[in-house]
Amino acid sequence: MAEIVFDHVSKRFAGGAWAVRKANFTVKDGEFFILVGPSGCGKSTLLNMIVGLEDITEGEIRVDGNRINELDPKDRNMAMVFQSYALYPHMTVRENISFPLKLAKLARDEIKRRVDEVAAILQLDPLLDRKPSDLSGGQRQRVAMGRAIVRRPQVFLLDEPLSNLDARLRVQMRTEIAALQERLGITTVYVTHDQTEAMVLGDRVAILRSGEVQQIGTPKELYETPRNEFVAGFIGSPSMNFLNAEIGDTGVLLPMGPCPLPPSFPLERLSNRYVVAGIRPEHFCLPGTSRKAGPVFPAEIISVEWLGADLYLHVQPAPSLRPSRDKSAVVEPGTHPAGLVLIVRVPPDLRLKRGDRIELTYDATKIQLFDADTGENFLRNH
Amino acid sequence: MRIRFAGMDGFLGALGSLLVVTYALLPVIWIISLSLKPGRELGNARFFPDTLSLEHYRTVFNDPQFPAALLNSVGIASIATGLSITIAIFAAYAIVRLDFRGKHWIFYGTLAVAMFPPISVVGPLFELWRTLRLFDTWPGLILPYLSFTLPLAIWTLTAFFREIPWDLERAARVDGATPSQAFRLVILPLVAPGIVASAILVFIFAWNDFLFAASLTSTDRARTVPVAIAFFTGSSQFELPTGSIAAASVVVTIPIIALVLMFQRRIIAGLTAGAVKG
Repeated sequence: MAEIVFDHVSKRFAGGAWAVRKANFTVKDGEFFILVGPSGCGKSTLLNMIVGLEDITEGEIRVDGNRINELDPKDRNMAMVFQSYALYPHMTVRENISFPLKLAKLARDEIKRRVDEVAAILQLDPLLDRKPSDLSGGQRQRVAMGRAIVRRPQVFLLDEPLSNLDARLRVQMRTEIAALQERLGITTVYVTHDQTEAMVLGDRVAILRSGEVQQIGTPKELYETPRNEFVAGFIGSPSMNFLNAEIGDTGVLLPMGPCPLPPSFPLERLSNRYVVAGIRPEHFCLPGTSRKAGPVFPAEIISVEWLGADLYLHVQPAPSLRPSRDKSAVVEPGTHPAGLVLIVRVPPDLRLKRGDRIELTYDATKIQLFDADTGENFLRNH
Repeated sequence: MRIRFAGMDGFLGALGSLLVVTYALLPVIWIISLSLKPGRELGNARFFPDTLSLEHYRTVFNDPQFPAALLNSVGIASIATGLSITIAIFAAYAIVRLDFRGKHWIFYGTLAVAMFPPISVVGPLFELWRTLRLFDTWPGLILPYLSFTLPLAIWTLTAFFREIPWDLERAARVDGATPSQAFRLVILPLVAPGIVASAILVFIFAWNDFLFAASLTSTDRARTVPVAIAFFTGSSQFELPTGSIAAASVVVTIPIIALVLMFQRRIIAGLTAGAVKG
């Protein structure tokens, strides 16, 4: 059991590039904590610093209050599952799992007992005498998990453990990992680039970009109140739609036309500012199907993605009827560039095809407004 | 690996294999045949001996210098191989895993050493060894063998180390291994095929060398088999020791063949399969 504190942790590589900048957060005891971000955002570097495979350039990592910066990886009592699994190919599954215990010089019967116990949990019993080369991807993944949990580490680290599995197995192992973590209650840090994994697994999620933590919160917080445009675009699939817009006196002027905003929006403070408005695909709907609907606008369907349970439409809003105002913005609010495409989710039983013209509306209370320059969320940071 | 032949391709393939095997083995078979012919038949130009005789083998082992030379050969080649491989393992690991100044310099420098024609260093070495009292000693031969085989061993092992995923060593460290444990328990077993392969190459070099052994030895103290064979005399001074030479050649070839057969199964590649996905 352990609480991990990142105290202004930075990492600079020999080449001079900063991989992580001033990471400052706490992973609580027993928590399932996710580090997520696009490739090169520094999430794996952070993980390697926890386990001791990378030096810490600045700052301090503390586990239960003790500084571990200088501690050798073998003395940290942490276990890690690598993206490549990193199974020892010359050892059988049993030897692989017992390797950390042998290094810890445990008694033979104790090693056997613990390996058998872990094998039972992960359903590895029939595979114990096989070599890794004889295992399927999912089985290798399980062995890697087994080798990690057999030590009963105080911290459990996973570096994209599912990215080498096919889609179906990935969903299955995702559930297994979540169940296992809950059962063991070990503080877990999990690195992934897949926002779905992050949302499903995490107690809390940290979103990283270019070495900087963008936002930390529960999946719900990240989804509902993203701190900035990057987080808003990263969380949610398909991504949030971003529209150039301008704030007026009573609402926001969107490319599809003006939209009155509820009184909870701090309009007076933002008056006449250019903003980026974000609307998630699921917050669009057909007129008359929701009580929370806003203004109606016409649009043309340019492609249809039917997924069984969901139907996503890529639509192009028809040019606004409202005359554009003469402002020197790059993209004139109230009109829209030729290429503006919205992704909207509609009920899957609708019979729609490419080229159809439909009317759409959206839930105005769910609109997010971001600073056009900094990307900061106005609504969250007022 | 099993190669299957079918149809016309198969016929040509089989013919080709037969040609290659014949080309490679014919001289060997001829030497064996010569070594088994009695002395009077040596000049009869027949491929197979009419009568089999072990007289040349007896001559070889009764020659006082041959058993001594055999011992020298085994000792010198083994020690040179052991040292060369040990040094090469550490050098190759460092070249692959560590970042240090002058790394490429060392890497290509070793290759440059291997490109020196040995004949160009034999003369100076002779003088130097006499001064250093290394002439006609085991170390006197082991040292040059070391310098000429190290590049080959380092290059071969570097290729094998490159194949090993870094993650394995990192995983071992996280699992609680010290750097040396990670090396011994995880990395070394995985490069074993490379170690065996380069050890055999080094051993063969030392075992077969004639140039250094002929120039840097003068007595049975350090003279190795290839040189000893050259010093064979016939039963009279008018007789060529062809039979004895053939018999001795067969005798010195046996350890090499045994070595290769013994380690053949270990040399197979693909031991790292299954370490990582891919």
